[in-house]
Amino acid sequence: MTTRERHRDRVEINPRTPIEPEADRPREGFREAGDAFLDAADDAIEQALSRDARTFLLQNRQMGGQ
Amino acid sequence: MPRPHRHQRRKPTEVGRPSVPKILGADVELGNFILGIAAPDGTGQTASRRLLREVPGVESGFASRNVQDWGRKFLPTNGGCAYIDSDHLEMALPETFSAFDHVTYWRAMLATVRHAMRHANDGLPEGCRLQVLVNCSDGHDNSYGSHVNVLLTRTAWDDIFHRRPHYLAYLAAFQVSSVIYTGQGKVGSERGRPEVDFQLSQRADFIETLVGLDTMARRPIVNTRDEPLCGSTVLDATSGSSLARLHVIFFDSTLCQIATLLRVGTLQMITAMLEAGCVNASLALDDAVIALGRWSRDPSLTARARMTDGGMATALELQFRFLEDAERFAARGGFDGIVPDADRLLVVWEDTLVRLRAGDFDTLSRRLDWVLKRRLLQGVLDRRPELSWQSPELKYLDQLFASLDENEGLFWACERRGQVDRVVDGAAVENAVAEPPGDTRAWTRAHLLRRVPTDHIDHVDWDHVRVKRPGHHPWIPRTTVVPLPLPFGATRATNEIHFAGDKTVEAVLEVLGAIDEDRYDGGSSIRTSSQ
Repeated sequence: MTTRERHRDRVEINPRTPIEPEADRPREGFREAGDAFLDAADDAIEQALSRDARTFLLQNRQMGGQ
Repeated sequence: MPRPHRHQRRKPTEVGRPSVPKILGADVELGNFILGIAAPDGTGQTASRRLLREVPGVESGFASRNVQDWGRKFLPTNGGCAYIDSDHLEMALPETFSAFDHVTYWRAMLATVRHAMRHANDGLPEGCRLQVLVNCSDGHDNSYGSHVNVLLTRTAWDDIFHRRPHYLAYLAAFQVSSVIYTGQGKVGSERGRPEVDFQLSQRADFIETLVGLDTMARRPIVNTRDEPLCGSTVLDATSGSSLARLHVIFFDSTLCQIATLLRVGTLQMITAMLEAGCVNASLALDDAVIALGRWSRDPSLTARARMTDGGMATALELQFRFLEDAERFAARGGFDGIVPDADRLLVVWEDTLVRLRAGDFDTLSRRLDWVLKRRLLQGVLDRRPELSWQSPELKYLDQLFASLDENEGLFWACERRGQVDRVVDGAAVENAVAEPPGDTRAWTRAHLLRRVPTDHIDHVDWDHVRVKRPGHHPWIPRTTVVPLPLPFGATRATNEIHFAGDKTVEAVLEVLGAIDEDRYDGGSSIRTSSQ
Protein backbone atom coordinates (compact mmCIF):
# COMPACT_ATOMS: atom_id res chain seq x y z
CA MET A 1 0.00 0.00 0.00
CA THR A 2 1.45 3.34 -1.00
CA THR A 3 1.65 6.40 1.17
CA ARG A 4 -1.00 8.05 -0.94
CA GLU A 5 -3.36 5.18 -0.32
CA ARG A 6 -2.57 5.07 3.37
CA HIS A 7 -3.26 8.74 3.86
CA ARG A 8 -5.86 9.41 1.24
CA ASP A 9 -8.51 10.17 3.80
CA ARG A 10 -6.56 12.81 5.68
CA VAL A 11 -4.24 14.48 3.20
CA GLU A 12 -5.47 17.29 1.09
CA ILE A 13 -3.51 19.56 -1.17
CA ASN A 14 -6.30 21.88 -1.99
CA PRO A 15 -10.04 21.43 -1.84
CA ARG A 16 -10.30 22.32 -5.52
CA THR A 17 -7.77 19.70 -6.48
CA PRO A 18 -8.77 16.12 -5.80
CA ILE A 19 -5.82 13.87 -5.05
CA GLU A 20 -7.12 10.89 -6.94
CA PRO A 21 -6.51 11.25 -10.65
CA GLU A 22 -9.24 10.24 -13.01
CA ALA A 23 -7.74 7.16 -14.54
CA ASP A 24 -9.65 7.24 -17.79
CA ARG A 25 -9.41 10.94 -18.34
CA PRO A 26 -8.36 11.63 -21.93
CA ARG A 27 -4.83 12.98 -22.25
CA GLU A 28 -5.11 16.69 -22.87
CA GLY A 29 -2.65 18.40 -25.11
CA PHE A 30 -1.39 21.91 -24.59
CA ARG A 31 -3.33 23.09 -27.60
CA GLU A 32 -6.58 22.15 -25.92
CA ALA A 33 -5.94 24.53 -23.08
CA GLY A 34 -9.17 26.35 -23.69
CA ASP A 35 -10.15 29.96 -23.46
CA ALA A 36 -11.38 29.72 -19.89
CA PHE A 37 -7.95 28.98 -18.57
CA LEU A 38 -6.31 31.72 -20.59
CA ASP A 39 -8.83 34.29 -19.46
CA ALA A 40 -7.00 34.53 -16.15
CA ALA A 41 -3.95 36.10 -17.73
CA ASP A 42 -5.72 37.63 -20.70
CA ASP A 43 -5.53 41.25 -19.63
CA ALA A 44 -1.91 40.99 -18.59
CA ILE A 45 -1.01 39.34 -21.88
CA GLU A 46 -2.91 41.84 -23.99
CA GLN A 47 -1.33 44.75 -22.15
CA ALA A 48 2.09 43.19 -22.53
CA LEU A 49 1.66 42.66 -26.24
CA SER A 50 0.70 46.31 -26.67
CA ARG A 51 4.12 47.31 -25.33
CA ASP A 52 7.50 47.14 -26.97
CA ALA A 53 8.80 43.64 -26.44
CA ARG A 54 12.11 44.30 -28.17
CA THR A 55 13.04 47.22 -25.92
CA PHE A 56 12.28 45.16 -22.82
CA LEU A 57 14.39 42.28 -24.07
CA LEU A 58 17.22 44.59 -25.06
CA GLN A 59 17.32 46.43 -21.77
CA ASN A 60 16.99 43.34 -19.62
CA ARG A 61 20.68 42.55 -19.57
CA GLN A 62 21.85 40.93 -16.39
CA MET A 63 25.31 40.26 -15.11
CA GLY A 64 26.00 36.54 -14.98
CA GLY A 65 25.51 35.45 -11.39
CA GLN A 66 25.98 32.26 -9.48
CA MET B 1 22.87 27.54 28.76
CA PRO B 2 19.90 26.97 26.47
CA ARG B 3 17.98 23.78 27.09
CA PRO B 4 18.50 20.91 24.66
CA HIS B 5 16.21 20.99 21.67
CA ARG B 6 14.22 17.95 20.76
CA HIS B 7 15.84 17.75 17.32
CA GLN B 8 19.24 17.42 18.92
CA ARG B 9 18.43 13.86 19.81
CA ARG B 10 19.97 12.25 16.79
CA LYS B 11 18.13 9.43 15.18
CA PRO B 12 20.28 6.38 14.54
CA THR B 13 19.86 5.07 11.02
CA GLU B 14 19.57 1.48 9.95
CA VAL B 15 23.27 1.35 9.12
CA GLY B 16 24.27 3.17 12.27
CA ARG B 17 25.10 6.49 10.65
CA PRO B 18 24.10 9.70 12.38
CA SER B 19 21.43 11.80 10.76
CA VAL B 20 20.30 15.36 11.31
CA PRO B 21 17.09 17.29 10.70
CA LYS B 22 16.92 18.40 7.11
CA ILE B 23 17.02 22.11 7.79
CA LEU B 24 16.49 24.15 4.64
CA GLY B 25 17.83 27.46 3.43
CA ALA B 26 17.91 29.32 0.15
CA ASP B 27 19.89 32.14 -1.42
CA VAL B 28 18.22 33.56 -4.46
CA GLU B 29 19.49 36.05 -7.01
CA LEU B 30 16.79 38.05 -8.73
CA GLY B 31 16.84 39.59 -12.16
CA ASN B 32 16.77 43.39 -11.82
CA PHE B 33 17.04 46.24 -14.29
CA ILE B 34 15.54 49.63 -15.06
CA LEU B 35 13.28 49.67 -18.08
CA GLY B 36 13.58 53.01 -19.86
CA ILE B 37 17.34 53.35 -19.60
CA ALA B 38 19.44 52.09 -22.47
CA ALA B 39 22.89 51.10 -21.23
CA PRO B 40 25.24 48.76 -23.08
CA ASP B 41 26.08 46.81 -19.92
CA GLY B 42 22.59 46.96 -18.46
CA THR B 43 21.33 48.72 -15.37
CA GLY B 44 21.64 45.91 -12.86
CA GLN B 45 24.10 47.75 -10.66
CA THR B 46 21.81 50.75 -10.15
CA ALA B 47 18.67 48.65 -9.91
CA SER B 48 20.04 46.25 -7.31
CA ARG B 49 21.32 49.03 -5.07
CA ARG B 50 18.07 50.97 -5.27
CA LEU B 51 16.23 47.81 -4.32
CA LEU B 52 18.50 46.88 -1.43
CA ARG B 53 18.17 50.20 0.31
CA GLU B 54 14.38 49.87 0.24
CA VAL B 55 14.36 46.47 1.94
CA PRO B 56 12.93 47.07 5.42
CA GLY B 57 15.69 46.67 8.00
CA VAL B 58 18.48 47.78 5.68
CA GLU B 59 19.74 51.20 6.73
CA SER B 60 20.63 53.67 4.00
CA GLY B 61 24.37 53.86 3.44
CA PHE B 62 24.84 50.42 4.92
CA ALA B 63 27.70 48.51 3.37
CA SER B 64 29.32 45.29 4.50
CA ARG B 65 32.98 44.43 4.58
CA ASN B 66 32.44 41.65 2.09
CA VAL B 67 33.02 43.03 -1.36
CA GLN B 68 31.24 40.29 -3.22
CA ASP B 69 28.20 40.20 -0.97
CA TRP B 70 27.82 43.96 -0.98
CA GLY B 71 25.60 45.39 1.67
CA ARG B 72 24.97 42.07 3.43
CA LYS B 73 22.37 42.70 6.06
CA PHE B 74 20.65 40.22 8.32
CA LEU B 75 17.08 41.21 8.92
CA PRO B 76 15.64 41.69 12.40
CA THR B 77 12.23 40.89 10.98
CA ASN B 78 12.46 37.21 10.06
CA GLY B 79 16.17 36.48 10.44
CA GLY B 80 16.80 36.21 6.69
CA CYS B 81 19.36 38.23 4.82
CA ALA B 82 19.57 40.71 1.93
CA TYR B 83 22.58 41.77 -0.11
CA ILE B 84 23.88 42.26 -3.61
CA ASP B 85 25.79 39.66 -5.53
CA SER B 86 27.06 40.42 -9.03
CA ASP B 87 24.57 43.27 -9.39
CA HIS B 88 21.60 41.11 -8.43
CA LEU B 89 19.55 41.71 -5.32
CA GLU B 90 20.05 38.47 -3.44
CA MET B 91 17.73 37.36 -0.68
CA ALA B 92 18.56 34.52 1.68
CA LEU B 93 15.68 32.86 3.47
CA PRO B 94 15.84 32.19 7.19
CA GLU B 95 16.44 28.56 8.04
CA THR B 96 13.28 26.45 8.10
CA PHE B 97 12.69 22.85 9.05
CA SER B 98 9.41 22.17 7.28
CA ALA B 99 9.23 22.36 3.48
CA PHE B 100 5.84 24.02 3.90
CA ASP B 101 7.48 26.72 6.02
CA HIS B 102 10.08 27.12 3.30
CA VAL B 103 7.29 27.91 0.84
CA THR B 104 5.86 30.42 3.31
CA TYR B 105 9.21 32.20 3.72
CA TRP B 106 9.87 32.07 0.00
CA ARG B 107 6.63 33.93 -0.57
CA ALA B 108 7.43 36.30 2.30
CA MET B 109 10.74 37.07 0.65
CA LEU B 110 8.99 37.89 -2.60
CA ALA B 111 6.57 40.15 -0.71
CA THR B 112 9.52 41.96 0.87
CA VAL B 113 11.19 42.53 -2.47
CA ARG B 114 7.92 43.66 -4.03
CA HIS B 115 7.60 46.25 -1.27
CA ALA B 116 11.16 47.42 -2.02
CA MET B 117 10.43 47.52 -5.75
CA ARG B 118 7.42 49.78 -5.28
CA HIS B 119 9.36 52.21 -3.12
CA ALA B 120 12.34 52.19 -5.47
CA ASN B 121 10.04 52.97 -8.38
CA ASP B 122 8.63 55.98 -6.56
CA GLY B 123 12.03 57.62 -6.80
CA LEU B 124 12.63 57.00 -10.48
CA PRO B 125 12.10 59.60 -13.21
CA GLU B 126 9.04 59.36 -15.40
CA GLY B 127 9.42 56.79 -18.13
CA CYS B 128 11.69 54.59 -16.03
CA ARG B 129 10.53 51.52 -14.16
CA LEU B 130 12.50 49.13 -12.03
CA GLN B 131 11.78 45.55 -12.97
CA VAL B 132 12.33 42.51 -10.79
CA LEU B 133 12.20 39.08 -12.40
CA VAL B 134 11.98 35.88 -10.38
CA ASN B 135 13.76 33.75 -12.94
CA CYS B 136 17.23 32.44 -13.68
CA SER B 137 18.27 33.78 -17.06
CA ASP B 138 17.96 36.98 -19.09
CA GLY B 139 17.84 35.37 -22.52
CA HIS B 140 21.27 36.82 -23.34
CA ASP B 141 23.32 33.86 -22.08
CA ASN B 142 23.46 35.17 -18.51
CA SER B 143 22.21 33.03 -15.67
CA TYR B 144 21.80 33.75 -11.97
CA GLY B 145 21.06 31.28 -9.26
CA SER B 146 18.22 30.15 -7.08
CA HIS B 147 20.16 28.07 -4.60
CA VAL B 148 18.69 25.72 -2.04
CA ASN B 149 20.63 24.45 0.95
CA VAL B 150 20.03 21.43 3.15
CA LEU B 151 21.77 20.32 6.32
CA LEU B 152 23.79 17.10 6.21
CA THR B 153 26.13 15.23 8.47
CA ARG B 154 29.79 15.44 7.54
CA THR B 155 29.70 11.68 7.10
CA ALA B 156 27.08 12.01 4.39
CA TRP B 157 29.03 14.84 2.77
CA ASP B 158 32.15 12.70 2.68
CA ASP B 159 30.18 9.80 1.28
CA ILE B 160 28.86 11.95 -1.57
CA PHE B 161 32.05 13.74 -2.49
CA HIS B 162 34.99 11.68 -1.24
CA ARG B 163 34.12 8.06 -0.71
CA ARG B 164 31.12 6.70 -2.54
CA PRO B 165 30.76 7.87 -6.13
CA HIS B 166 27.41 6.10 -6.49
CA TYR B 167 26.01 8.47 -3.84
CA LEU B 168 26.97 11.39 -6.05
CA ALA B 169 25.51 9.70 -9.11
CA TYR B 170 22.29 8.98 -7.22
CA LEU B 171 21.93 12.60 -6.14
CA ALA B 172 22.68 13.87 -9.64
CA ALA B 173 20.14 11.50 -11.20
CA PHE B 174 17.52 12.69 -8.76
CA GLN B 175 18.17 16.36 -9.44
CA VAL B 176 18.28 16.00 -13.21
CA SER B 177 15.08 13.98 -13.43
CA SER B 178 13.32 16.43 -11.10
CA VAL B 179 13.19 19.08 -13.84
CA ILE B 180 9.80 17.64 -14.76
CA TYR B 181 8.40 19.41 -11.68
CA THR B 182 11.09 21.91 -10.66
CA GLY B 183 11.57 23.70 -13.99
CA GLN B 184 10.10 27.17 -14.51
CA GLY B 185 10.16 26.67 -18.27
CA LYS B 186 11.93 28.81 -20.84
CA VAL B 187 11.36 29.88 -24.40
CA GLY B 188 14.32 29.00 -26.62
CA SER B 189 17.87 28.11 -25.77
CA GLU B 190 21.02 29.95 -24.75
CA ARG B 191 24.80 29.58 -24.80
CA GLY B 192 24.85 28.13 -28.28
CA ARG B 193 22.84 25.06 -27.34
CA PRO B 194 20.69 23.57 -30.11
CA GLU B 195 17.56 25.57 -30.87
CA VAL B 196 14.34 24.59 -29.18
CA ASP B 197 10.90 26.17 -28.94
CA PHE B 198 10.42 25.63 -25.24
CA GLN B 199 12.27 23.76 -22.52
CA LEU B 200 11.45 22.76 -18.97
CA SER B 201 14.51 24.11 -17.17
CA GLN B 202 15.95 27.61 -17.21
CA ARG B 203 19.29 26.43 -15.86
CA ALA B 204 19.86 23.40 -18.11
CA ASP B 205 21.68 25.41 -20.79
CA PHE B 206 24.12 26.59 -18.13
CA ILE B 207 24.93 23.25 -16.53
CA GLU B 208 28.11 21.78 -17.97
CA THR B 209 29.55 19.26 -15.54
CA LEU B 210 28.48 16.57 -13.11
CA VAL B 211 30.24 17.94 -10.06
CA GLY B 212 32.39 20.93 -9.20
CA LEU B 213 33.03 23.97 -7.08
CA ASP B 214 32.28 26.62 -9.70
CA THR B 215 29.01 28.49 -9.63
CA MET B 216 29.59 31.16 -12.30
CA ALA B 217 31.27 29.15 -15.04
CA ARG B 218 31.20 25.46 -15.89
CA ARG B 219 28.32 25.12 -13.48
CA PRO B 220 27.88 21.61 -12.08
CA ILE B 221 24.76 19.56 -11.36
CA VAL B 222 26.12 18.90 -7.87
CA ASN B 223 28.04 21.74 -6.26
CA THR B 224 30.91 21.04 -3.87
CA ARG B 225 30.86 24.39 -2.04
CA ASP B 226 31.69 23.36 1.51
CA GLU B 227 30.39 26.05 3.83
CA PRO B 228 28.57 24.40 6.74
CA LEU B 229 27.71 27.75 8.41
CA CYS B 230 27.54 25.77 11.61
CA GLY B 231 30.76 26.81 13.26
CA SER B 232 32.79 23.67 13.62
CA THR B 233 30.18 21.83 15.59
CA VAL B 234 30.92 18.28 16.57
CA LEU B 235 27.78 16.24 16.88
CA ASP B 236 29.26 13.90 19.42
CA ALA B 237 32.66 13.02 20.67
CA THR B 238 32.33 9.33 19.84
CA SER B 239 31.77 9.57 16.10
CA GLY B 240 33.49 12.92 15.67
CA SER B 241 30.85 13.62 13.06
CA SER B 242 30.24 17.27 12.32
CA LEU B 243 27.79 19.13 10.14
CA ALA B 244 27.83 20.03 6.49
CA ARG B 245 25.50 21.88 4.16
CA LEU B 246 24.66 20.75 0.67
CA HIS B 247 24.57 23.83 -1.56
CA VAL B 248 22.34 23.06 -4.53
CA ILE B 249 22.73 25.45 -7.45
CA PHE B 250 20.84 23.33 -9.93
CA PHE B 251 17.22 24.38 -9.51
CA ASP B 252 15.16 27.14 -11.12
CA SER B 253 13.22 29.73 -9.18
CA THR B 254 9.61 28.60 -9.10
CA LEU B 255 6.50 30.62 -8.40
CA CYS B 256 3.91 27.86 -8.11
CA GLN B 257 3.70 26.92 -4.46
CA ILE B 258 3.49 23.21 -5.09
CA ALA B 259 6.51 23.26 -7.40
CA THR B 260 8.43 25.11 -4.70
CA LEU B 261 7.25 22.63 -2.09
CA LEU B 262 8.35 19.67 -4.19
CA ARG B 263 11.68 21.33 -5.03
CA VAL B 264 12.74 21.35 -1.38
CA GLY B 265 10.60 18.57 0.09
CA THR B 266 11.89 15.89 -2.26
CA LEU B 267 15.44 17.15 -1.74
CA GLN B 268 14.97 16.76 2.01
CA MET B 269 13.82 13.19 1.54
CA ILE B 270 16.55 12.18 -0.89
CA THR B 271 19.31 13.65 1.28
CA ALA B 272 17.83 11.95 4.35
CA MET B 273 18.00 8.65 2.47
CA LEU B 274 21.57 9.34 1.39
CA GLU B 275 22.50 10.10 4.96
CA ALA B 276 21.04 6.81 6.09
CA GLY B 277 22.92 4.91 3.41
CA CYS B 278 19.69 4.08 1.60
CA VAL B 279 21.03 4.57 -1.90
CA ASN B 280 19.85 2.69 -4.95
CA ALA B 281 22.90 2.67 -7.18
CA SER B 282 20.90 1.28 -10.11
CA LEU B 283 19.27 4.71 -10.57
CA ALA B 284 22.53 6.31 -11.71
CA LEU B 285 22.65 7.91 -15.13
CA ASP B 286 25.35 7.12 -17.63
CA ASP B 287 25.78 10.85 -18.40
CA ALA B 288 23.67 13.14 -16.25
CA VAL B 289 24.58 16.27 -18.23
CA ILE B 290 23.37 14.72 -21.48
CA ALA B 291 20.24 13.46 -19.75
CA LEU B 292 19.52 16.95 -18.45
CA GLY B 293 19.77 18.50 -21.91
CA ARG B 294 17.52 15.83 -23.36
CA TRP B 295 14.86 15.92 -20.64
CA SER B 296 14.76 19.68 -20.39
CA ARG B 297 13.93 19.83 -24.09
CA ASP B 298 11.16 17.28 -23.95
CA PRO B 299 7.82 18.62 -22.72
CA SER B 300 6.24 15.38 -23.93
CA LEU B 301 8.22 13.59 -21.18
CA THR B 302 8.94 10.67 -23.48
CA ALA B 303 12.67 11.18 -24.06
CA ARG B 304 14.89 8.49 -22.60
CA ALA B 305 18.39 8.71 -21.21
CA ARG B 306 20.88 5.94 -20.67
CA MET B 307 21.39 4.48 -17.24
CA THR B 308 24.69 3.04 -16.04
CA ASP B 309 23.26 -0.49 -16.33
CA GLY B 310 22.66 0.08 -20.04
CA GLY B 311 18.90 0.52 -19.77
CA MET B 312 17.02 3.60 -20.91
CA ALA B 313 14.58 5.61 -18.79
CA THR B 314 12.44 8.70 -19.00
CA ALA B 315 12.74 11.33 -16.29
CA LEU B 316 9.28 10.38 -15.14
CA GLU B 317 10.14 6.68 -14.86
CA LEU B 318 13.24 7.54 -12.88
CA GLN B 319 11.29 9.82 -10.54
CA PHE B 320 8.83 7.01 -9.84
CA ARG B 321 11.80 4.84 -8.81
CA PHE B 322 13.02 7.52 -6.40
CA LEU B 323 9.50 7.87 -5.06
CA GLU B 324 9.20 4.12 -4.47
CA ASP B 325 12.47 4.11 -2.54
CA ALA B 326 11.27 7.08 -0.49
CA GLU B 327 7.97 5.37 0.29
CA ARG B 328 9.80 2.27 1.51
CA PHE B 329 12.08 4.47 3.60
CA ALA B 330 9.04 6.25 5.05
CA ALA B 331 7.38 2.95 5.90
CA ARG B 332 10.42 2.10 8.04
CA GLY B 333 10.10 5.44 9.83
CA GLY B 334 13.22 6.78 8.15
CA PHE B 335 11.94 10.34 7.88
CA ASP B 336 10.66 10.54 11.44
CA GLY B 337 12.18 13.56 13.14
CA ILE B 338 14.28 14.27 10.06
CA VAL B 339 11.78 15.45 7.43
CA PRO B 340 8.60 17.07 8.76
CA ASP B 341 5.34 16.27 6.99
CA ALA B 342 7.04 13.56 4.95
CA ASP B 343 3.73 11.75 4.44
CA ARG B 344 2.10 14.83 2.99
CA LEU B 345 5.14 15.47 0.80
CA LEU B 346 5.02 11.92 -0.51
CA VAL B 347 1.36 12.29 -1.37
CA VAL B 348 1.95 15.46 -3.36
CA TRP B 349 5.03 13.99 -5.04
CA GLU B 350 3.24 10.79 -6.08
CA ASP B 351 0.11 12.55 -7.18
CA THR B 352 2.10 14.98 -9.31
CA LEU B 353 4.02 12.16 -10.99
CA VAL B 354 0.80 10.24 -11.60
CA ARG B 355 -0.74 13.28 -13.25
CA LEU B 356 2.36 13.87 -15.34
CA ARG B 357 2.12 10.27 -16.56
CA ALA B 358 -1.59 10.75 -17.32
CA GLY B 359 -0.95 14.04 -19.12
CA ASP B 360 -3.37 15.78 -16.77
CA PHE B 361 -2.17 19.27 -17.63
CA ASP B 362 -5.38 20.86 -16.36
CA THR B 363 -4.37 20.00 -12.84
CA LEU B 364 -0.64 20.35 -13.38
CA SER B 365 -0.93 23.90 -14.68
CA ARG B 366 -2.14 24.73 -11.18
CA ARG B 367 1.00 23.23 -9.67
CA LEU B 368 4.00 23.40 -11.98
CA ASP B 369 5.54 26.54 -13.44
CA TRP B 370 6.67 25.06 -16.72
CA VAL B 371 3.25 23.60 -17.43
CA LEU B 372 1.46 26.83 -16.57
CA LYS B 373 3.87 28.94 -18.61
CA ARG B 374 3.72 26.64 -21.60
CA ARG B 375 -0.07 26.57 -21.61
CA LEU B 376 -0.24 30.34 -21.43
CA LEU B 377 2.20 30.78 -24.27
CA GLN B 378 0.61 28.07 -26.39
CA GLY B 379 -2.70 29.82 -25.92
CA VAL B 380 -1.19 33.06 -27.21
CA LEU B 381 0.15 31.26 -30.26
CA ASP B 382 -3.24 29.69 -30.90
CA ARG B 383 -4.90 33.08 -30.82
CA ARG B 384 -2.26 34.97 -32.74
CA PRO B 385 -1.11 32.98 -35.74
CA GLU B 386 1.25 35.79 -36.72
CA LEU B 387 3.42 34.88 -33.72
CA SER B 388 5.72 31.89 -33.31
CA TRP B 389 7.94 30.48 -30.56
CA GLN B 390 10.75 32.48 -32.16
CA SER B 391 8.91 35.83 -31.94
CA PRO B 392 10.36 38.36 -29.48
CA GLU B 393 6.84 38.73 -28.08
CA LEU B 394 6.96 35.12 -26.84
CA LYS B 395 10.31 35.62 -25.17
CA TYR B 396 8.97 38.80 -23.63
CA LEU B 397 5.95 36.98 -22.21
CA ASP B 398 8.27 34.24 -20.97
CA GLN B 399 10.12 36.85 -18.91
CA LEU B 400 6.95 38.65 -17.84
CA PHE B 401 5.67 35.37 -16.41
CA ALA B 402 8.26 35.89 -13.67
CA SER B 403 7.80 39.63 -13.18
CA LEU B 404 7.34 40.43 -9.51
CA ASP B 405 5.06 43.31 -10.43
CA GLU B 406 1.53 42.11 -9.70
CA ASN B 407 0.16 44.32 -12.47
CA GLU B 408 2.39 42.78 -15.11
CA GLY B 409 3.42 39.35 -13.97
CA LEU B 410 1.50 36.62 -15.75
CA PHE B 411 1.86 34.24 -12.83
CA TRP B 412 0.23 36.68 -10.42
CA ALA B 413 -2.65 37.20 -12.82
CA CYS B 414 -3.29 33.46 -12.77
CA GLU B 415 -2.98 33.28 -9.01
CA ARG B 416 -5.39 36.19 -8.51
CA ARG B 417 -7.99 34.35 -10.54
CA GLY B 418 -7.58 31.18 -8.51
CA GLN B 419 -5.85 29.31 -11.34
CA VAL B 420 -2.98 28.01 -9.22
CA ASP B 421 -3.03 25.95 -6.03
CA ARG B 422 -1.78 27.18 -2.71
CA VAL B 423 -0.31 25.22 0.16
CA VAL B 424 0.21 28.19 2.46
CA ASP B 425 -2.19 31.00 3.17
CA GLY B 426 -1.75 34.72 2.87
CA ALA B 427 -1.88 35.35 6.62
CA ALA B 428 1.02 32.96 7.19
CA VAL B 429 3.03 34.71 4.50
CA GLU B 430 2.27 38.09 6.00
CA ASN B 431 3.42 36.85 9.37
CA ALA B 432 6.61 35.43 7.85
CA VAL B 433 7.54 38.84 6.47
CA ALA B 434 7.76 40.12 10.02
CA GLU B 435 8.57 37.10 12.18
CA PRO B 436 11.21 34.36 12.07
CA PRO B 437 10.51 30.63 11.98
CA GLY B 438 10.15 29.35 15.53
CA ASP B 439 11.94 26.04 15.13
CA THR B 440 15.39 27.09 13.92
CA ARG B 441 18.18 29.39 15.09
CA ALA B 442 16.69 32.14 12.90
CA TRP B 443 14.37 32.85 15.82
CA THR B 444 17.23 33.77 18.14
CA ARG B 445 19.11 35.68 15.43
CA ALA B 446 16.12 37.88 14.65
CA HIS B 447 15.38 38.52 18.33
CA LEU B 448 19.00 39.37 19.08
CA LEU B 449 19.00 41.88 16.24
CA ARG B 450 15.89 43.47 17.70
CA ARG B 451 17.17 43.53 21.27
CA VAL B 452 20.78 44.66 20.80
CA PRO B 453 21.14 48.30 19.69
CA THR B 454 22.18 48.45 16.04
CA ASP B 455 25.43 50.28 16.76
CA HIS B 456 26.45 47.51 19.15
CA ILE B 457 26.11 44.82 16.51
CA ASP B 458 29.64 44.23 15.28
CA HIS B 459 29.04 41.42 12.81
CA VAL B 460 26.38 38.86 12.01
CA ASP B 461 26.73 35.56 10.23
CA TRP B 462 24.49 32.52 10.03
CA ASP B 463 26.22 30.79 12.91
CA HIS B 464 27.03 33.67 15.26
CA VAL B 465 26.31 37.23 16.26
CA ARG B 466 29.22 39.41 17.40
CA VAL B 467 28.33 42.18 19.82
CA LYS B 468 30.32 45.12 21.17
CA ARG B 469 29.89 45.44 24.93
CA PRO B 470 31.22 47.70 27.62
CA GLY B 471 34.66 46.54 28.79
CA HIS B 472 36.48 46.89 32.06
CA HIS B 473 37.71 50.22 30.76
CA PRO B 474 35.10 52.47 29.21
CA TRP B 475 37.36 53.37 26.30
CA ILE B 476 38.17 49.75 25.45
CA PRO B 477 34.99 47.91 24.43
CA ARG B 478 35.01 44.16 24.53
CA THR B 479 33.58 42.06 21.76
CA THR B 480 31.67 38.95 22.56
CA VAL B 481 30.16 36.30 20.36
CA VAL B 482 26.82 34.57 20.68
CA PRO B 483 27.40 31.22 18.97
CA LEU B 484 24.49 29.82 16.96
CA PRO B 485 26.18 26.73 15.56
CA LEU B 486 23.17 24.46 15.28
CA PRO B 487 20.61 25.42 12.64
CA PHE B 488 18.04 23.38 14.57
CA GLY B 489 19.06 24.86 17.92
CA ALA B 490 18.48 28.23 19.58
CA THR B 491 14.79 27.92 18.78
CA ARG B 492 11.85 29.77 20.20
CA ALA B 493 11.15 26.82 22.48
CA THR B 494 14.60 27.01 24.02
CA ASN B 495 15.20 30.74 24.05
CA GLU B 496 11.94 32.65 24.24
CA ILE B 497 12.14 32.65 28.00
CA HIS B 498 15.48 34.44 27.82
CA PHE B 499 14.01 37.37 25.90
CA ALA B 500 10.93 37.64 28.07
CA GLY B 501 10.31 40.63 30.28
CA ASP B 502 12.62 43.60 30.52
CA LYS B 503 15.94 41.80 30.78
CA THR B 504 18.94 43.94 29.92
CA VAL B 505 20.95 43.23 26.81
CA GLU B 506 23.80 42.13 29.06
CA ALA B 507 21.55 39.62 30.79
CA VAL B 508 20.25 38.26 27.49
CA LEU B 509 23.75 37.85 26.09
CA GLU B 510 24.91 36.16 29.25
CA VAL B 511 22.12 33.62 29.28
CA LEU B 512 22.62 32.89 25.56
CA GLY B 513 26.19 31.91 26.33
CA ALA B 514 28.02 34.87 24.82
CA ILE B 515 31.77 34.38 25.02
CA ASP B 516 34.69 36.72 24.53
CA GLU B 517 35.80 36.93 20.95
CA ASP B 518 39.29 35.64 21.71
CA ARG B 519 37.75 32.50 23.19
CA TYR B 520 35.43 31.89 20.27
CA ASP B 521 36.74 29.05 18.17
CA GLY B 522 34.02 28.90 15.58
CA GLY B 523 31.78 26.82 17.75
CA SER B 524 33.96 23.77 18.17
CA SER B 525 33.41 23.85 21.88
CA ILE B 526 29.68 23.49 21.37
CA ARG B 527 28.54 19.93 21.69
CA THR B 528 25.00 18.84 21.04
CA SER B 529 25.10 16.73 24.14
CA SER B 530 25.81 19.69 26.37
CA GLN B 531 23.80 22.44 24.72
